[in-house]
Amino acid sequence: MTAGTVSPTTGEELAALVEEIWVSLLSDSEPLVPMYDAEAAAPLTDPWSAQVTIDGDWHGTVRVDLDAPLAEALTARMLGRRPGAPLVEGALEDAVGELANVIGGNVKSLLPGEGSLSLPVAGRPLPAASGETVCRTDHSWDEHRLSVLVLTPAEPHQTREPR
Amino acid sequence: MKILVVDDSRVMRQIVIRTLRQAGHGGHELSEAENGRLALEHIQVTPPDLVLSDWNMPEMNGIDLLERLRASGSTIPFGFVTSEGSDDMRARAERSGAAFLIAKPFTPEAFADALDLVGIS
Repeated sequence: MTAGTVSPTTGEELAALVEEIWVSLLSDSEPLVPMYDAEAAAPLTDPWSAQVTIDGDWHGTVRVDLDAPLAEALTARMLGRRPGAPLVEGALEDAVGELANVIGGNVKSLLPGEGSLSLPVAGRPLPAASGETVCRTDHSWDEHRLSVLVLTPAEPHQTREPR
Repeated sequence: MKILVVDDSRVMRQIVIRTLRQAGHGGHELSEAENGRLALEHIQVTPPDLVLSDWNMPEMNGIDLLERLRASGSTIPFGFVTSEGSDDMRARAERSGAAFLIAKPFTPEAFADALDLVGIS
């Protein structure tokens, strides 16, 4: 498999993966609700974002963007805190980054061959991921939105030499 | 029993500890380290009965931690809790001496089965 417009997963697979991970990380949470093209088209406003890169026979980025209230709810629930409880510094970056890490790790597991997964980078704002979106899934949760994108570099990537 | 949870993400350490409780393993003495290097230092001072470690961490990753432990002669049971569960990684973990690999997302049942595998009840 090479870089380019090849996606390691289909939109349906990615959606199912994201929903399973969400329920697992937030054990007592309501599930995510899938969103479809028309309603998911509008960009998120001032989201929290995180991404990981996969480098191997396939090269690309898995990026997560979520509305700030959703990022705060995610963090509180991952830490077992009540909604609205004060969070320690760095907790939001940690939680959003870990969500990207788990989704990225699962996407990488769908790929044949060896490769490496970067540590997650998280922030608000996080510069837009460059490249071509080859797969995406959009979800809502309590009126807030989450998007997961799989991107490949716009320029041809030099794939790793076999070891 | 002493269990050391190693992960650079504080929220993931909390989730692992919560899941251990849900799996019926809340009675153990749990400690935490945020990367392989700190885990190694902790283990030298207070050897645990089980290490549950993430794979991908800054400073020293989980596989390097395991290989350092085995090179030093340590036989402490070691399991990975990681976001990647490919066949290649499972094979590499096993070759290096890991007892199991739990892929995130995980369930309390996965922890119960894994701890049963290393004789921790």
